[in-house]
Amino acid sequence: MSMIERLRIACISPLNPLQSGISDYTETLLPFLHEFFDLTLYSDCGVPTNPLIAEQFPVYPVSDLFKHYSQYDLRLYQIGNSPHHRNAFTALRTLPGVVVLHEPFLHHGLYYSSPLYYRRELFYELGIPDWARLKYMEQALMNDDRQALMDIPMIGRIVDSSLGILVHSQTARRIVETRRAKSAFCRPRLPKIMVVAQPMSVPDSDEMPECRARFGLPQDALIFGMAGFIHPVKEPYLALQAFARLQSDFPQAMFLFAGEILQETGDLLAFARDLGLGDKVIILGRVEPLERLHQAISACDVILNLRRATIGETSAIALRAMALGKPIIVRNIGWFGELPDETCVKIGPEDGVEELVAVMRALATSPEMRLRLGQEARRYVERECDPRRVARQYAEFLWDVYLSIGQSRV
Amino acid sequence: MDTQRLPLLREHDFPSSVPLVGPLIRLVRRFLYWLTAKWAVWFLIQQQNQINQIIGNWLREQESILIDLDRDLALLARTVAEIEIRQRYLEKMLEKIQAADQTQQDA
Repeated sequence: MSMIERLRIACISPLNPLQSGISDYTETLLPFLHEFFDLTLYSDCGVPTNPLIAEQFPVYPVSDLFKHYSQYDLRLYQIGNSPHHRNAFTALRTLPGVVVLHEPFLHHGLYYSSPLYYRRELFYELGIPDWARLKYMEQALMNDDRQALMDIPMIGRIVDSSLGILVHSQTARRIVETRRAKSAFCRPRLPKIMVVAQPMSVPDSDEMPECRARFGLPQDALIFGMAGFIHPVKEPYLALQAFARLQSDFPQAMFLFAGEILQETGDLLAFARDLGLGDKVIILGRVEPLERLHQAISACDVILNLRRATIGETSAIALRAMALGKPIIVRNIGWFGELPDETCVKIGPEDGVEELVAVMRALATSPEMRLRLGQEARRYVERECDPRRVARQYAEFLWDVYLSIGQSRV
Repeated sequence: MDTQRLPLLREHDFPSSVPLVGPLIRLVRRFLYWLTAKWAVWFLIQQQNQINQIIGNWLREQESILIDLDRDLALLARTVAEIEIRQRYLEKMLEKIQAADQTQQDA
């Protein structure tokens, strides 16, 4: 790629045991990135639980980056909307680098890192100390009103100071570009932005009967599932309402929640009982390790991955289900809307129970449709989300940023 | 601290929690206050409110300046990071050229 053979990269990211989708993401990608770069990891995870990571890479606390920064050609930050990035936010302020922005929306991450830091970033975005707006935003945060918060996604500093930005969807790219256009400041040139697919290894498909037996699920049932963190934004209540409407036609159908029910979601089981579905809804809670989660997804016929509102995020669970050859139902919104039509079933952003019932019924009545969608979904993940391919895209982008800055005139 | 809303100072109300005669005690206290200190206290309150307003305005100005500085810091951090990269890139180029020269001389 140049006279310089390998770049030395400081990679700042959460790693397991920090429970975050970005920990899994980084651990998936690192072995492939290592083919292109000399990597040193900065994470506040303590000792990584993944022995391959712990053995293969030096790992330091993020605060050590301030001592070591001059040893690297580039810094690569994995940033998402979670307080796991607290020290990365601090480092990013004075040691900018290339940022992988997993969601172009950092309200929760900044606020729960430090309310003071959140205030600073909000005023940075607004350009003025607007206390009334701060109170409004804090209230919206408490109510998890994502539509209100989306107006100011809190990525201003990253857009201003980053040397390059990687995002996972055209939606996220548009949010970054729109934010810059709306900004109160006359900002410098926009950093290079590139869209890369989220890496997802395609696991060997588990046999459905075996998986069902493992979880004690009936072999002849038609099982709809929802996996990952069960948050109200994933519309579990809407899914249950739609599921209840199918009961008369598909009395053998069941609904499986394979993930932790978050506190704000409320009592799903009580709701199911009110709908007369007490014995039809199964809640597994958090499913670990990953292989077991794969088995739980494999036990389902259809996976629902809805979003009431999107913050430009991708869904690892949706990709995981697709990789396992499962048909998924999503809303035509954000990144989900960018998925090819032949790989999933989409309902409209504003659609309600009726429309959801219609697509669930269509999938329930047609095993061929489920099979075809699942096969297309798996092929899509194999083609677009291969970690080796994603790592190559990373490498091209990082070299591009490095050379364009290194060779530019001062 | 919300510097947009520094509260105004106001006179004390001299309440009394004594049952029945409480309102009477309050009236007596207020009368004594009116007789002995009201004018001076009122003058001091006006002065202090003006001072508070000046300080509030000054703090708001400082906040705006800090936001501007914060923004400058972000741009400066980016510029410094770019200069660092250029420096390291040039160092590597120089090393390569020197190594090539050395090889040539050795040959």
